[in-house]
Amino acid sequence: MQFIRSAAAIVAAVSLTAPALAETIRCESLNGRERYCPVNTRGGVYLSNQLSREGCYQGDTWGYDRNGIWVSGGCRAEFQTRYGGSNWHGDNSYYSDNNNRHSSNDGAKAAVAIGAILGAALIASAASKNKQSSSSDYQSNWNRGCEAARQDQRRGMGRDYDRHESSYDGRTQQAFSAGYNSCWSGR
Amino acid sequence: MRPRQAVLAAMLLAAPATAQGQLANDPMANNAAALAPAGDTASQVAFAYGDRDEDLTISWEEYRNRAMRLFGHVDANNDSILQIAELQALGGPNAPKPESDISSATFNAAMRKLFDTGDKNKDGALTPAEWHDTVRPSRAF
Repeated sequence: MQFIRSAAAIVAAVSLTAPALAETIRCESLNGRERYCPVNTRGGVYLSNQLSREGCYQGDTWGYDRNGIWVSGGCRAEFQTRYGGSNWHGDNSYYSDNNNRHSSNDGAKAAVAIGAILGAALIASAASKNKQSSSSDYQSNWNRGCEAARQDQRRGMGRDYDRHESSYDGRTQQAFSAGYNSCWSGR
Repeated sequence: MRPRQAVLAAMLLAAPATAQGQLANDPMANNAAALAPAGDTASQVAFAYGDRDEDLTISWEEYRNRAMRLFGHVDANNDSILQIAELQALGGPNAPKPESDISSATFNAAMRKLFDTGDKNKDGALTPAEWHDTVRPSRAF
């Protein structure tokens, strides 16, 4: 009898500590539309690979409930779920595995070359220092950013000036984003 | 710092630096400088761009979104891969020719590593000082 009890205890322990079944699901908000992707989220959800330039902010442009994951505002990403609910948020091994899995075409040599290219781009952008906008230009772009923030709030949208990217360029982005963020915060 | 991290460090600073020249004449310049008490002007501006909730730290979520924003600027055909032609367009005619593409998955994994490496006190967010050390290209190359 004692043996049976011990065996039952072992089986119970094994079932509790069995490897969790992780699942990766891609969920994409296209054209800014909200999308719901049914999946078992019992053990939690983690955004493992963001695909979109549009923001993916939990509770704002993505989230999940018991039956699935939702995305909105152009957020496109791959999400990892895990049944069983073990603590895995701080586990960086996923990134190592992920990195190894995809790194065959992205060798260190290529990465160095890319770094040099981006360095050149940095120098080029620094060379544009002389193309400074006037204060009135700045104010105008700031105002447009401010109006965009108010418009988003009226529409019940999340805070993300990036969705207005057609309204600014590299030269005017700072003024636009400053106006957007200031007016969003009510300042 | 590993090469892939160096790439990301350069990317994180590249776009915000375009605003550096504007800063001197901008009426809002003091705001950006006040938000990020550590680092030089370029990294302060970059910090202000990234700090979406203005809590004076860059969370992993803020960091990832800022970096993906830059990724998206380079990824002209929206296929989630930085291709050789796109990298060449970014670097200009005088930049060295890239030898291979870089995927968004590799980008995501590498920026997470860069973030974790920069988060010296392991509190899950980058302070202005940690941010500065992470994004400055002088540290990356």
